Amino acid sequence: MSVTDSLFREIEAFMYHEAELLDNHQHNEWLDLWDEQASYRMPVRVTHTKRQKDQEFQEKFGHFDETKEMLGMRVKRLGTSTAWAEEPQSRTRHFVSNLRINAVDNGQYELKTNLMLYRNRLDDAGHDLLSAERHDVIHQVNGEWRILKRTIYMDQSTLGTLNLSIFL
Amino acid sequence: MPNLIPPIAEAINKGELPLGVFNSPELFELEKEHLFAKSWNFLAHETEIPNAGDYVQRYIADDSFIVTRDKQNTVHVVLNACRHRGRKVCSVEKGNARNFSCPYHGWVYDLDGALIDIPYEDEGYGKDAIGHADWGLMAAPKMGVWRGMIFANLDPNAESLDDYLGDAKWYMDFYTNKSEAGLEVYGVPQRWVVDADWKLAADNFVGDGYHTFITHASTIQAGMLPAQSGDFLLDGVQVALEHFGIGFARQDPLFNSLAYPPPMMEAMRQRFNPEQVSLMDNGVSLPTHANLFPNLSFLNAPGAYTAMAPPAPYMTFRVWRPLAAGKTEIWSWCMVEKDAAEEFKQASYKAYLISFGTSGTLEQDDAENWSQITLPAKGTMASKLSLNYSMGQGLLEPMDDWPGPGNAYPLDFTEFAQRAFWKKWITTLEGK
Repeated sequence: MSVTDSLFREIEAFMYHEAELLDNHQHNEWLDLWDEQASYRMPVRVTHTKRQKDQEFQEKFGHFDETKEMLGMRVKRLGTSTAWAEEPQSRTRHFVSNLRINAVDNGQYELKTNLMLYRNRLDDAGHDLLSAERHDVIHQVNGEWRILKRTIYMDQSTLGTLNLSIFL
Repeated sequence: MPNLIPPIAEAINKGELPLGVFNSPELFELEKEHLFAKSWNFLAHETEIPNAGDYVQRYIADDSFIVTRDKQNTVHVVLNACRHRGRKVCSVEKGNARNFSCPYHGWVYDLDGALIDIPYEDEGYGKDAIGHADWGLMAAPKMGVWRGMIFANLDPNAESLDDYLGDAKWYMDFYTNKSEAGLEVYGVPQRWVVDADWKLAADNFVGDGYHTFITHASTIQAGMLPAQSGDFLLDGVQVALEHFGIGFARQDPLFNSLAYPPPMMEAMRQRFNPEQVSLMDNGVSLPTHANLFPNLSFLNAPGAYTAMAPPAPYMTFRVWRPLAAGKTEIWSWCMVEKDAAEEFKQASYKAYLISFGTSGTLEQDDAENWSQITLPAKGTMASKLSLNYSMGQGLLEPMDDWPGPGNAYPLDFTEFAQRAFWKKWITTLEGK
């Protein structure tokens, strides 16, 4: 089911807003965008033959497999003065594109976006580039968009970044 | 022997270490040839390949191996290189196959590595001209399985795995013998690459009880590390064997059981021997951190991921695979008791995720430290910097009432196990 142009623009703006909060390290404001029942998952990807490609993403094992409470603990940690992996903070830029929207029942919308995440740290001139497809489910709570579900499908099986102290 | 070894050996004997060992291309080449090619390397757990035809691709430094289970249920470790032109016959991380066929010229190998077909053999080579028995995939010179853990050694003259593990088995029991069914891998290993030397990780897990209060302070504040203070290993126990080091926390309400529920603790008491049980009754926790030389580490600890349930114990095995000087690929397995209830496995998995692995909050800060040591270590001045490894030297004597093997010290804020690691490292490079 397609959505109207204005709704498409509204959801697109919401995605950009979310990315901006992450790039600005406004983690508490970012956390507020998540539904109380939210799930945030990044299944581990395993390189399989084409014939066994259906087993590529681990259903029950992830790099992340978070409730909102777990996201909250991670955000709380980032707010301390001793979260060394983010001291100094990573410089990230979330490039969010290729938005696809399917309306489903009960005011829930299934989104797909492509994500290119640039990450730079310290005085290193190099960077990590992480590419992924994100599958989200969003809905409105009291007139505000909230993310109910995100599954991040990474385009790497061996991750090329020293940790996931950042969110995608 | 290269000239760079003797001054390092001298420093180690004094309880010091030059910083340069953490980012040296020359040492890395020596490590590959004299250390990784002559050590027992952990590759996989049997539960990763439960069925006939299952396989995983694993590495020892730069060498790729296929770990397979054949139709007779036997596990094999074979070099992942075709005998004709050397192409990898397995290009994926995991799967199930009847055999391995090389995409270049089609040579086909059985699950045990035996050569079973050469296309156009009669025309190109002559009938029976090639002895198939001589041209199978090369088996790892030695392999061994202990408690489901599959190891290989590239040295045909190496002592057996069982002999190598030796007294370490008394301690590895605590990780691997908690239940009748034993451990299984939950999911698959997570893999990622860090700009840090493998030895820093091994050095941390073998005997660094000291770093937790500062490195992991944020995880206590935010709640995922359920300890009252960060120095929970201070008055624990550290044990140093020649090739193995392990740390126990002090007996405190949060740490003594590592959050294993009472029925599981009771089951452990039935399985452990009386000396092992006596540890559980006499002042220390179940063991937490350990490293088996060279690069297999263990961690068993409690982790908290929700206010709705008590902390859960998690267990991880990890291999610090050396990629280059100062560059390591981390392989991190989440291990659970195979016969535990699904809810326990779930809780253990969540506790692991928020604590260790790619997104683990304790892991994040560890790798940050190690990369911040590795990067400066190649400096002309910094590489010669002498690091202080003297903690506990002249201060502590081995405990005389400790029931286990090796030297045990009544403090985990000490560096006996690290000094033992470095001694083993340098004598291995010296070929002793």
